[in-house]
Amino acid sequence: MTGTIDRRSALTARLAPPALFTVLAVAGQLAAPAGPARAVLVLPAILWVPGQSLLTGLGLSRAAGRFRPALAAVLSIVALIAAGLLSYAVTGHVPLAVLPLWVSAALLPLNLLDLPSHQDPGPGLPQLLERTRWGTLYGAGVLAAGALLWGVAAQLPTTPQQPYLSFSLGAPYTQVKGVLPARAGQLLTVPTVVQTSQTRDLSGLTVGVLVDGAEPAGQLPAAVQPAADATAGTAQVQVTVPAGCLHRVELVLQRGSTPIRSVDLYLRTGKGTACGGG
Amino acid sequence: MTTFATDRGPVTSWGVPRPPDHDGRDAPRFGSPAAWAVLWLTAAAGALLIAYAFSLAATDGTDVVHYAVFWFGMLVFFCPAAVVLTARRVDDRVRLGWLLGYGLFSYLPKLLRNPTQPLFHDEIAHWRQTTDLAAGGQLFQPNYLIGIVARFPGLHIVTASISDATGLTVWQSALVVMVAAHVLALFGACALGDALFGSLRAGVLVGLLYSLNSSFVYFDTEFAYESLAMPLFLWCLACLARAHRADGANERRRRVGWALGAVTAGAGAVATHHLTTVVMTALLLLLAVVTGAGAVRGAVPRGTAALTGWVALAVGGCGAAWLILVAPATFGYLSPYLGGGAGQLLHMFSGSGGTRSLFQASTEPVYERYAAFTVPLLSAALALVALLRRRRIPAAERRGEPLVRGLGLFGLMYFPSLPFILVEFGAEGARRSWGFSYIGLAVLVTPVLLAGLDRIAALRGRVWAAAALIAVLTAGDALVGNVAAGLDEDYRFPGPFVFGSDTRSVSAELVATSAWFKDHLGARLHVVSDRYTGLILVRDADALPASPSNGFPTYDLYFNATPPSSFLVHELSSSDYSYLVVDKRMATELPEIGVFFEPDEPFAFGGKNPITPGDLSRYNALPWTTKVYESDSYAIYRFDFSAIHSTVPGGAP
Repeated sequence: MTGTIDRRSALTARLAPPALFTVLAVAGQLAAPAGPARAVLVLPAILWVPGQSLLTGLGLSRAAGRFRPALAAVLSIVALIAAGLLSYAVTGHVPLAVLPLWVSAALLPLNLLDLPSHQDPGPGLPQLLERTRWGTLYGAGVLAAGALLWGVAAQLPTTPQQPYLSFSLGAPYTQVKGVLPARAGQLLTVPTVVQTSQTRDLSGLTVGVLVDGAEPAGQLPAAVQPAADATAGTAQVQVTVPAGCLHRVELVLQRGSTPIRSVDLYLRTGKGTACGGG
Repeated sequence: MTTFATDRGPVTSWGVPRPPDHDGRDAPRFGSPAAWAVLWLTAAAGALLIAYAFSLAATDGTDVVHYAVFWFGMLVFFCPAAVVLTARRVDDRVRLGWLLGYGLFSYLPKLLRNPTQPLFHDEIAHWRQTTDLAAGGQLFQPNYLIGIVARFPGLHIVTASISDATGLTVWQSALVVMVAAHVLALFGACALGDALFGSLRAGVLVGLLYSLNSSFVYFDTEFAYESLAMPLFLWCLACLARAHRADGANERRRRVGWALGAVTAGAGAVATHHLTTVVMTALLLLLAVVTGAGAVRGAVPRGTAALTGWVALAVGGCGAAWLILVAPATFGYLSPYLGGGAGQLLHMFSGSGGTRSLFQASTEPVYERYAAFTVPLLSAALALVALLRRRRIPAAERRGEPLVRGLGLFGLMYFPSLPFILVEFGAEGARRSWGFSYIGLAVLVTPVLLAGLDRIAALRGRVWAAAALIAVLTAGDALVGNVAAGLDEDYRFPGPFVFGSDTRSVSAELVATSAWFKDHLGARLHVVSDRYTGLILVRDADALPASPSNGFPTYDLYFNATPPSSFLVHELSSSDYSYLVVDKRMATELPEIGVFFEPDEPFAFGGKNPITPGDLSRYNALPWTTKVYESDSYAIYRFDFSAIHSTVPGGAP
């Protein structure tokens, strides 16, 4: 009678955890918010249940002894890889979100293959609960140390970064595909954008224009208008397309009269290879 | 013959029980709550010191104080851990608890190096591969940083599954996988030692020795396929060793179960990493030969030899099938490292150059360099003692453990690999081989060390204290030396910007440039860039950078002042390359690691910059390169190959 009870207890202890973790994982996927909370519920079903089932199926659950959790994790990882490859080979797609749960559920019956015997009933529920208590305490210690480390590390100074200033074409010219077709005499309004890591860099900046290397007569530089957060600014520049074949319009960001950045556009007013028309 | 004590009583180096030479009543005991308190306190204190060292390095990378603080933090935990893990009378649970603590603690330096996003070159390649898999569920998608990565999807399947199933980000999931893999590797080595020597104490020592290899703290902790393949490799060996042990008359099913476990773990490694597959297959074949030879002499049961051969054939068959059918490019990928290294080594011995100086321009402190040089000497001395010691063991006993012998032979491969560290192409391969050969070396020298530790335990008073201190400091020296020999400062510590470094070339400016690229130009765009800019464009802008090579020489756009060849233009145009990204410092600075793009490029490791400012600024006046963005150091140009022959008034030809 005692042997039967021990055996039943051991059988329950063997089946209950993987089944419970699988159910918890399903519940976690259905109900828990994505992120750490769901991970706590789902990870045991990914990294322990399949391997534990395989260990039992191979008749190694007791033989693995103190290395059983580690070996179960190793076999779980391999089971997941194998299931992913198999799924891809069959369907051409890996259903990643549900694959771990399928693997866990599909391998659960293996836990029935190596039933505990009267001579070697294996650990019962009391032993399992004792291990759980120990594992919980250890885990709490790790989490406490981790929280302490994280809290301190977040307060420590990090690498100071060099300030920078960038200058770019604004939409829709950011999407320019290369040489642009244009008509001679056409007036283009080209937006430009300045971004900086430091607000002070925007003061006194202007954007000037050079067409084929020369400043158009009567063209005044446009002042950069800071945006609300003062780390970005814009300037609209108007360019009259000259006559000819192919022209370079250079937009120069300058502080005073000193050029500091530039972007450009190429405008084609003629046809043929020489005019950039391919 | 010297014996050493185990949790199951004293045994010989071959795991045969022997009567105890003393009962160890005076040996220190570990098993009380104090052991747990010491574990927590030393681990927490060590972790805080390492974090402080990283902060020091980040804010003032020029001094070497951060090295001292780092090692103080590491040794604050390592030294007591080494004592507890190898002491004679320690409760199993305490020993394993400390081993777990050591596994978690030894992941901290890498975790603190880049906790929030991928940073190392290979990491970014794998992270991108995993992110793409998590988004689309498609395996074998091309990888634009390391092409071969796509053919080994094991790591990506596991990480993407965790990410999609839990809602964690891909990087958070990667950390879960990497921490698990790191700890599992340590426990795999421990399980192997436990199975070979029949003692948890010996097993833990094998794990501890294995953890001293130069890849354990930094390289095999990065998010890359080798980091996951390594525990699978070690557990394959551990399962095989357990199969060897299960040789009783009623243990046939268990023996087959362990063999299947070995094949399962080995097959997992096959789908995960190429080099592990090659090394694992070679090692299993070696073990099969050694075991088979033992069976021929009657020293090993024929069933055991057959089982070993079966495992070797199964795993090797899986590996061969995978490499031939799924990843045939592996041979082309690995051959330059093997052939190039051997070729350069021959050149070195013939005096015709090709060498590199160890710790050249290194910022590592002197004690790290000395420690690095002492490790091979220490290893050689221990290996020599182990080999001499074996000669004294009766032949009948010596023949009884083919796996110990085979792994010992494998461990001796560490020594022929040492000269390769002196040549450019061989250095990387040599370092990587140590991650494997160290498990053999650990198995080889563990009996010697256990015998030595037992002798120390038998000492009393100050002599005992001095001997114990020397033993712990020697272990610390091995840790310091091997970490120093692994990766240089740029990988190990944060710090100021360094041009041409995978990890230190990341600046706020580059991150902002990549963000601008993604926001304004789009994702999944083909770009030409240097190695370091390309990494962050892949990570932050989901760009598809060119992989330059002799057949696709995109580096000519930087190295060559003449217009690109019609072949290159055709290749770029037909493959829809849209943007050229230039780091203007390429014309004024040499890259820290010796290459602008990849090791096969012209002028690699040449010490002289082939790029002039004019080579780069010419794109400012060419109609086929429209400059759409410029910052302090970066410029982005839009390609228009239809205008390749066009000129503008006052522009370059």
